Amino acid sequence: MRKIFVDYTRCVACKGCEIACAVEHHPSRSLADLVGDGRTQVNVRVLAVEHEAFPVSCRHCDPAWCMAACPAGAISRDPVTGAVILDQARCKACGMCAMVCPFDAIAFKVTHASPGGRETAFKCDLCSHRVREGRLPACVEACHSGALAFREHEEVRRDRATRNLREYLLGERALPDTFALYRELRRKEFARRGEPAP
Amino acid sequence: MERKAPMRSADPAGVEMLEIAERDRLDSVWERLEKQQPQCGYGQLGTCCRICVMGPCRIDPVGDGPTRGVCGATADTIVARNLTRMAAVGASAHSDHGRKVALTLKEVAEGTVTDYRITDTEKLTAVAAKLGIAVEGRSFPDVARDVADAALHCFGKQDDAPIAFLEAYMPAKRFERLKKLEDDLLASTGARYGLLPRGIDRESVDILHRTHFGCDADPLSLVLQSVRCSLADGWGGSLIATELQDVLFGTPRVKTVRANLGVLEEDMVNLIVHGHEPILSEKVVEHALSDEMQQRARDKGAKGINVAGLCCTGNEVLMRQGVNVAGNELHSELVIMTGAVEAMVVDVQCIYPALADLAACYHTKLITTSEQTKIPGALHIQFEEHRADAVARRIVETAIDAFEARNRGRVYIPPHSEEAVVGFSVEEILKALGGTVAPLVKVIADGAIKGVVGVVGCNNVKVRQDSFHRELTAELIARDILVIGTGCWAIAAAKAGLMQLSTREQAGPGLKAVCEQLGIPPVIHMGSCVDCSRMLVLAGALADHLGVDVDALPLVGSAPEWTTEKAVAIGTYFVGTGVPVHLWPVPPVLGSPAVTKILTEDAKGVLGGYFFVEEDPKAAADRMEAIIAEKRAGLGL
Amino acid sequence: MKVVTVGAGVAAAEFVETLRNEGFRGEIVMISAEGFPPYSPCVMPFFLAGDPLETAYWKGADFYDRLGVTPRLGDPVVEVDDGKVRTASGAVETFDRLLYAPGSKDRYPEPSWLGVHGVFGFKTLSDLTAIDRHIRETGVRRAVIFGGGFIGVDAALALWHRGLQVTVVHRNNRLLSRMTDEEGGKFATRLLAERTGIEVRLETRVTAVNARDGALASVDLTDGTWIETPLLIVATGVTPESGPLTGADQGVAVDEALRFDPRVYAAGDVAVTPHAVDGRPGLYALFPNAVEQARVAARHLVRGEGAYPGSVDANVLRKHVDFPVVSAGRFEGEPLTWQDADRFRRVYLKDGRINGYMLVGDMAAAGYLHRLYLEQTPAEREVSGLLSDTAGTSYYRRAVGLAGR
Ligand SMILES: Cc1cc2nc3c(=O)[nH]c(=O)nc-3n(C[C@H](O)[C@H](O)[C@H](O)COP(=O)(O)OP(=O)(O)OC[C@H]3O[C@@H](n4cnc5c(N)ncnc54)[C@H](O)[C@@H]3O)c2cc1C
Ligand code: SF4
Ligand code: SF4
Ligand code: SF4
Ligand code: SF4
Repeated sequence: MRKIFVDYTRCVACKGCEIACAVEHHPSRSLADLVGDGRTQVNVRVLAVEHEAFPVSCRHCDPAWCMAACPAGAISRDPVTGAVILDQARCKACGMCAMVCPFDAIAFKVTHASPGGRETAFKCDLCSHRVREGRLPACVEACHSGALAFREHEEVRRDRATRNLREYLLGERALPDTFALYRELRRKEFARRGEPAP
Repeated sequence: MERKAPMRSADPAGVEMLEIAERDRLDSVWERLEKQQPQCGYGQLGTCCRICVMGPCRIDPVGDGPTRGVCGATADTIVARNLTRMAAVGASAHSDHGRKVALTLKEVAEGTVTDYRITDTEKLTAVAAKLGIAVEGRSFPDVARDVADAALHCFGKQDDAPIAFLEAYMPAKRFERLKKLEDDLLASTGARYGLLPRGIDRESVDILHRTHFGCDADPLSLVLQSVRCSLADGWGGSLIATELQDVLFGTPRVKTVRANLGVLEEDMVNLIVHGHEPILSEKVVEHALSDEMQQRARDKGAKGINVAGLCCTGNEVLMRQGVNVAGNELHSELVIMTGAVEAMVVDVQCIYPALADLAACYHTKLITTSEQTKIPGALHIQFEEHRADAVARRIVETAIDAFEARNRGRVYIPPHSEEAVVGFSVEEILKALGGTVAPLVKVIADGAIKGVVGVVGCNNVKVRQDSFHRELTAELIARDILVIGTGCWAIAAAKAGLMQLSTREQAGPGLKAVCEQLGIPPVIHMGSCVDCSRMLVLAGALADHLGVDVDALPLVGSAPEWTTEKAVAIGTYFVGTGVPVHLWPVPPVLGSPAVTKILTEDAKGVLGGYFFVEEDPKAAADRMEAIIAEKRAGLGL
Repeated sequence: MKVVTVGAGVAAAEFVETLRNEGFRGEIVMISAEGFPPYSPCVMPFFLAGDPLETAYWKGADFYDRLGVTPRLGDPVVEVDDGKVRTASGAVETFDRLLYAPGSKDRYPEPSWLGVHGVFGFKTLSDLTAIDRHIRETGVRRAVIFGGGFIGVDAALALWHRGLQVTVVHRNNRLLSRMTDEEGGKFATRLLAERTGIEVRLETRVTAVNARDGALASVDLTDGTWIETPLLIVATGVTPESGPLTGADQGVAVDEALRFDPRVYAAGDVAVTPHAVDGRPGLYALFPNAVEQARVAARHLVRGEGAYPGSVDANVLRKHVDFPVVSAGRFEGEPLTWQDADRFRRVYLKDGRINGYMLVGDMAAAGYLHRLYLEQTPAEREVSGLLSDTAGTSYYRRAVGLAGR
């Protein structure tokens, strides 16, 4: 199964992924229409983790904690893409799934898919409708920095291993110098902001 | 739980107010920064282009994604275009301020504006002499009109010759160097690169043109134009603002004031003047202090009216009128949170739109006055030069009327303020030196003072308020380096008590002795941020005295908590004048290795000035000391 | 091979579905006391609040057909003995393997109350459909719930959501007393009362029900007062339905494969299982436990292997409201607390590990906390950050190597 892999060291917090996801899941599929629309569903959140930015969406676990916990039968696995899908039409917003999701990847609000104007849980659906058509998830397509990749797990593991080896043996850097400098300065700026009074 | 306040400000009054803000869950610039996290890296790297609607385009800084925008612009082009636009905006803000001063002077000279007068005829004569305008046997209004016309000509003239103010004020060696550079670049590349500004407005418009879709893509060409535009600010617009304000309102004289929120008075009507221009605030101060208004305030149950400044409007009235200053940029919300401010009157620049909502939570009236700065939710009282007195009166009356609505239960004025000796125009410095820069050159030559660092403005909420300003300044004076400066840095230094005569005890032995001898503090307040031109003039005087170019002098500039596009222009005109400039935070250029290299390395060879980035005050001081040592060695000292 | 289930509830349905997923093709018979497709008791209060009944059938209304099951409905099992089960109607079903999963039943302070029209339990869908009918037919506007535990509060919220005026009578000093410690429980009680307007009568009990023409008219309370109401819901506790198998109502002891004996598995609210973290055996009557037990039992039946890792006591009440009450583990050890006006977050640490926790008001970082608890990861350094983490970033702090700094 292909999943979204995150390399947060490349994330520049542009939130392009959030916007793309929001458009993809908005009934109108239009950027203009989601402006000011509180029901807009954004399934990925770029979290600020100190100076780092971390794009958070569902990991599509197997077995999935949330699926085992959902007493409404609202969570199931897509047989084609392997994605863990939350059917908001069946969701009661009881919170069981969010209580056990180890990645805190489930949120609640009234979305366009919530029945009867009631809050429901929502989360990333891996853009299964796109993936089934051979397209990339919207967020991955939107990410220009390579922070998000849609790939087989094994492939990613192998790649990471060779990259680390090249870095180690050949001294190759994974990130360009000025980008590494930018990251370092961002870290310093944050650290100074958080420094307790002398 | 961790206390946030001490991590947000190094100023004790700031910390106290931030604790109140936290307790009462008040929104503030610090809270909003947290809510903005994480902030977009494309923006921080400068690699987001919104210049045309084929975009927006972003260049992947990591190299996996697109390396060119839709039009083909590379990261180098995009970063350079964005930076150059920043310089144009900053230079325009300063220069447009200068234009208004020149226009007012002209109207005063012609008698169409009668609410102002020519206050400093000595300065008028000096400026006229510099510009080669005859004074002998002429009336002051006549001379003033010619001076104003000369200034206005710098804004709007259409020929290619350098502007008159720059030519008159820039040290000779620098002027020659820039001219030669233009010629050399043309000869070696066959292409024209300009450095000497042809018109103040023109250089900004030039940038708007050349950064339009499909024009200049050459990072070097773009960066050099940002230098030319910035020089039009430093040696043009800002200089005109400073010089002509001195003519209209008087050249600053040394005086003592108090700085920080403690200058607010519990039982008086507190009126804050905030922004950048003295034209209106001079009048507000005048009317607030009038017997009539003071009586009116007493009639309402107050003990009187207390005017205090904020940011550079604060600096203007502090330098000339000795008005106490309540704080710098990051204090602008905190001052309202004291609950003791009846009105905050603002002109232009650095005014948070958030102030309107905050003021609405109190009895405070936020009064906007400029056509160029209107804020939804604020009370707008339109300022016009020919009705200055009437407008100022109305503002003061509005403040008085608000006093009754003050909720005494909510008032808290942190008991912190420091004394500061301020008012160091170049004229005052020369006076202290006995009329010439020679004694200053001598103490530098004999090593009592190793060099001079000019620090300029802004707070930046990403930096613990004033911490860099305080620590850097203290580090430098301890190393016998004289610190001069303007803007929000100057207020930070004043609030920190670094501008007292006794501060010399913290200075190195050489600097201390000089301060004792001249009766000055080791940390010198030279005015508002347009008054950075005063620093240029002082540097120019030193260079001309020694017959060298500015880049030979042991001078360094710094903007350690910078925020605005104006700071980009200031930093760039310092660099263009030959002064190395320290910056923190990093400007949005790292997305382009080429632009980063031009600014931090190549500029040194070409212009003598260059940028460097350093996030630690001590390390920054080390670097500055090393640069000063290098320059001293170059001078054979 | 023929497989029979006693009960057609959460555990039984999950068991059957897992059997089929594991490739079991043999005959399956499900026997239930009630006449519904498998339903989720957790969801049925939403039916009472107005949702369609079908949404309670969490595996679909076509479950029996879809999975090729023979249902025997509306006929409770009364005895299990040597390869046979006997029902109340006298029918006998033989089995090769049995899943015993009849759940638990309400325990009434006074069984006679049930004879009064207008007094109901809140345990089965039969209860809830009867309540629904009563409300519709007699236009009920007012309800009293006796019992302020999880099920009682669940009932109160459902009826409140439906628009009834609701009073909860509870003998403890706070609602949800088993899910909370005193301070957390009082915080949650205040929040519930303030945000919903449900009336809460603490340290009080119902002593008598008074009928008029056979229908409930009012209830008497220990404090000497009474409340006029046409509807009383009794939710004062439950007892495992273990009688037909063991002859006693103490629950069914099982081995690590959930076996009572070589042919009989037991799962769900009736099974006595070890706690996943501290191993203490008990009745951990929660939905995820029933599901996991059913899966382990079914896989064991097919593959002959597998062991149950133990039950979890994490629970959350977040129905019809947006201020959840989350709780897990034991409230013993060193308490660490973070709170503001709307939120109360407390962790009990024992040997630097999370021994129990409560989150009232929001669920930020709840999942990560749950994982740290289950895995018993040393969390001393992380815990204060975790408590004040209202943005849910804690897991990611660890992921980027910033945890516990
Ligand atoms: C109102 C309510 C709300 C709940 N909310 C939650 C929640 O939010 N989260 C959570 O984790 N848990 C919740 N629970 C608990 C959860 O529903 C149970 O833990 C779970 O249903 C147990 O599954 P089970 O199969 O053991 O029993 P059940 O699902 O109750 O199934 C038992 C089945 O057996 C049948 N039966 C009973 N006796 C006999 C008999 N003698 N012969 C044949 N059939 C019989 C019943 O009719 C029923 O169909 C809730 C329970 C209730 C009542
Ligand atoms: S929601 Fe959480 S538990 Fe469920 S699959 Fe996604 S990451 Fe896993
Ligand atoms: S919140 Fe919705 S999806 Fe999550 S467990 Fe409850 S019903 Fe299922
Ligand atoms: S995969 Fe699709 S649903 Fe999931 S975060 Fe990305 S865009 Fe959103
Ligand atoms: S699009 Fe990519 S770089 Fe931008 S915020 Fe999302 S993950 Fe980060």
